[in-house]
Amino acid sequence: MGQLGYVFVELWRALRRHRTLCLASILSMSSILLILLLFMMVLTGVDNYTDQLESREEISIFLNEGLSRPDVDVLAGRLRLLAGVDSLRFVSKDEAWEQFRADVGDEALLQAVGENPLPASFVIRPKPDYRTAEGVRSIARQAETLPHVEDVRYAGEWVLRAEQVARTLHQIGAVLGLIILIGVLFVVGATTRLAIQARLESLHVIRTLGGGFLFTEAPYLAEGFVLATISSIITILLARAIHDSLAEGLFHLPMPSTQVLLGFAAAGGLLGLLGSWIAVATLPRKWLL
Amino acid sequence: MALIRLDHVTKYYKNRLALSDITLSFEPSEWVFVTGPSGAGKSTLLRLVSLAERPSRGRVEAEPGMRRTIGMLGQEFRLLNDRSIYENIALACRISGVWDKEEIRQRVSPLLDEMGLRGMEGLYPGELSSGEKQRVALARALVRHPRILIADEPTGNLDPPAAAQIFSLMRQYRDRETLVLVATHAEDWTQRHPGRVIRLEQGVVASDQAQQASDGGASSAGGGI
Repeated sequence: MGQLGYVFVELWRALRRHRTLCLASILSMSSILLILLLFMMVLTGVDNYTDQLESREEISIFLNEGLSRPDVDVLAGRLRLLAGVDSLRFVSKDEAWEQFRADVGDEALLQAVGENPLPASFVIRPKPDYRTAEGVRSIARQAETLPHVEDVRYAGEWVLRAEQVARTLHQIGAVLGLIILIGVLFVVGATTRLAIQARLESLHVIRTLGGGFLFTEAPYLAEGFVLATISSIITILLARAIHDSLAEGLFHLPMPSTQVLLGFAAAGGLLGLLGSWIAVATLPRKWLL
Repeated sequence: MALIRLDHVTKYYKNRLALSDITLSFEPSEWVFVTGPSGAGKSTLLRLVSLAERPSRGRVEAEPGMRRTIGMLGQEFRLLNDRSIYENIALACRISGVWDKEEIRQRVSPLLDEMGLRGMEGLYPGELSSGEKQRVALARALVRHPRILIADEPTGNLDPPAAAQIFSLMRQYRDRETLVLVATHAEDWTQRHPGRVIRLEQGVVASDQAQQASDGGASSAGGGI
């Protein structure tokens, strides 16, 4: 048995010996990590939504039917000169129809519509300073006055409000993450302390025999890492179950990507390692003498 | 050449003087008793010799890495109750840096025979008598092939036959180039196992003599003050 094997054996011995304590620790950590993961899922959903909404910051300028190419070019030049325009994209009638077909996907419905009724359009992306309700509105009002413009559409203030909500949720998420980080450190630290207290006499003996880090601290650090990693994995499984149970309903919580989940489990394990290290490093010296 | 040497060593615990200006040296194969009343500084002297503590003043001279070759035996057996007898002994091997399973077995196995523990290696400390526990503790101290064996009141919790057995086993190791240092206030053991006797009183060396076996006569010790 090598040194790593020794740590594993000691870890297994500790997990078996303090199984009730370990179980309580895993349940506590899983509960608080679940809050974080669910919040991350809500944030992912909100981010996906606002990504879609971002396109709604764009302003669609619908053109009259039957415009010649030179008319379109002239209008494009005038639109580019409007205050607050960052970029301009032309969407032809055909492109609009293709997009519509892709969005609808129901061939019967498309056949019922018959000939392509969609107009050509320009899509304006405002400059960052104009990506406000007032900015978007001012560009739209200027565009409305131009010749060959049939209609101007933009999403309006609620899009921007939604983005503000998303930003606030991110800030809440950061605070929540910090609180949960402290919570995990506390739970792992308390578990490690209790485990050490329960084995204090053995630790004294091992120290007397000259046992150093590998024989005293290392098994506890491994225990903190393993408990927190198990808790993270249980949390992910619970989150997956919640995700699946909601999948059939109206409210949908997107599951983070595999990389994010692996990062979550690894971060959980490292938090456990950190928590147990803090607990070991801050042990009263008299405990070990 | 001295195995370990204390040079004008003084030790304080907070403001309490435990040892004062002690100069002693110890040779391989010596059998040394440290005697004296409670509070005379016996345990402090052993802790300094075992390199577990540093002196407040003076120097303790030992070869580098000596600490790993020191075996300790106390009045309390201090066995790990959640490990078998074999594992208790093997742990000391691992702590001293021996990890090879076969080498550990080769070290532990003869000690089980010598200590009369053969057949008990799978038992746990809770299943043993006091004498057996102390023999396990002695095996654990010896499995590291110590150059110094330090025993602090090793028979304090044992009945006379078990105590005699422990002394007899320790005596064998003195014959194998191991310095054996025994602290005791039971002075009759110094008569039965003659050797060098260092008597401490109030933190100073009151006497350092070679004790004779039969008549109790004394002569000056070679490595003394």
